[in-house]
Amino acid sequence: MKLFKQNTEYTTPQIIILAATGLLLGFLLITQSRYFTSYVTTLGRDSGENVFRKIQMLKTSNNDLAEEISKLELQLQEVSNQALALETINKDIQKNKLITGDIAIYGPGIEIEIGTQLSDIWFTDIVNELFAAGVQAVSINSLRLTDTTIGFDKLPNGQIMLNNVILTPPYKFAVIGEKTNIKQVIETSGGIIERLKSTYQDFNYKITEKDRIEMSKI
Amino acid sequence: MSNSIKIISVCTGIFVGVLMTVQFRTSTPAASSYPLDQLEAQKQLIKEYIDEEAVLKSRISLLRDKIDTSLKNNEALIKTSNLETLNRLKASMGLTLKSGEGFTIELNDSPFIDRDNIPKEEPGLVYAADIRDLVNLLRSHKVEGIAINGQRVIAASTITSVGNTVMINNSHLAPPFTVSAIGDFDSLMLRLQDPATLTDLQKRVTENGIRFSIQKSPYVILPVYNGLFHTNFIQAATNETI
Repeated sequence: MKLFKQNTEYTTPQIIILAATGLLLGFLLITQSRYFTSYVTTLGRDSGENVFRKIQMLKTSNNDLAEEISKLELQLQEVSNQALALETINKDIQKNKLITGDIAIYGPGIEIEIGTQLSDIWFTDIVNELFAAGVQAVSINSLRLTDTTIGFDKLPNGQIMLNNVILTPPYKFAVIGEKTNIKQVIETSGGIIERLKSTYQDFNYKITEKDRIEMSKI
Repeated sequence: MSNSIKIISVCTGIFVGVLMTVQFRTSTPAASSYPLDQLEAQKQLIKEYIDEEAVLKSRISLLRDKIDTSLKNNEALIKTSNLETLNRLKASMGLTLKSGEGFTIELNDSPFIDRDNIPKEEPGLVYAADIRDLVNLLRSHKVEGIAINGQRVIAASTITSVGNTVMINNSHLAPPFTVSAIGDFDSLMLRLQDPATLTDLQKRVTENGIRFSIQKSPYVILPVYNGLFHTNFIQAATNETI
């Protein structure tokens, strides 16, 4: 209260300086708060708007589709040729078995070990992000994910179940694919690791690049 | 100037300094810093890629059909067991049409929202994360197959968003999102009545106008997966009991 009694002692330049400082302070506070809100909201479950990312994804995807067309055209020629048809089918069977889990597989990749207990939504998000990063096979705590895998289920006590098996931390995501690229994608700014860090204060993880990741048959 | 005023001025100065430092060190992606013509060019480029993608995917579907026809024509020469194995594998990979009794779920944005002109994190929008949660629920419900707006969803399918655009199997999809599945309708309805199921989506349906409806269907047809399978990093293990 003593301060207010001293108001009469202020000179005009002091009042101007104080008013300008107040204005600047208010402006900075509002701006900072808006930036902070924006920054937090971009760290939701999905990646934020990035037109270059979108263009890059479409370009890569179309290149892959064009490559697949070349392979299918060759395959069509082969199956049309009676001498080659049987061999082509056998090759196709072997390739498809790699995907369906009919045979054990191995390949280079990474292992992500997460020590924090996660809720079910993050398992679907992590797996989705891994496939979006171009991985070719995924297993979680040695359970290989294929088209016969049942979804992640949350039990009433909060535990996560996959294919009737309860998953407990540390969760080990093993993936086969281009290891350096996968690591970069998931650790990129706004990527899944950053989103997990912003959700779980105690989030801890370890990524190990490996030359050989093994997955058993289903 | 009195001591009190000096102290207040020094404190204010320090506070402003701290704010300015924080302000300039905050790295936030700008909503847009490009001239309009550049944005227009980017939109045009995206449209061209999407159009190209549609053409490429239809070509892939056509080639796969031709290969199947050719195999059938050579059936007499090819060991029946091989063809059966191939067809079984293709079916489990989503490379064949699938039909049966099931249901369709329609998921749509709030009617009061224009998807192209809204800020991020609008609760009345359907996000990729909502669709992922729904797909996961259906998988845990042991459905035999899922498709969304004509895109067959397989284990390796990605459901992502770039801004407010939803992409499934790298194809752009617009709302309403029609999720078709082959499976038991009645038990799914029981599951959906549980408040612990799809908690966030249920809340936004009630509070933010997202539209969610489900309908039983005696005959659902799921299309063939028209995306890619990459296996160049995968090797068959010689010892299958790894």
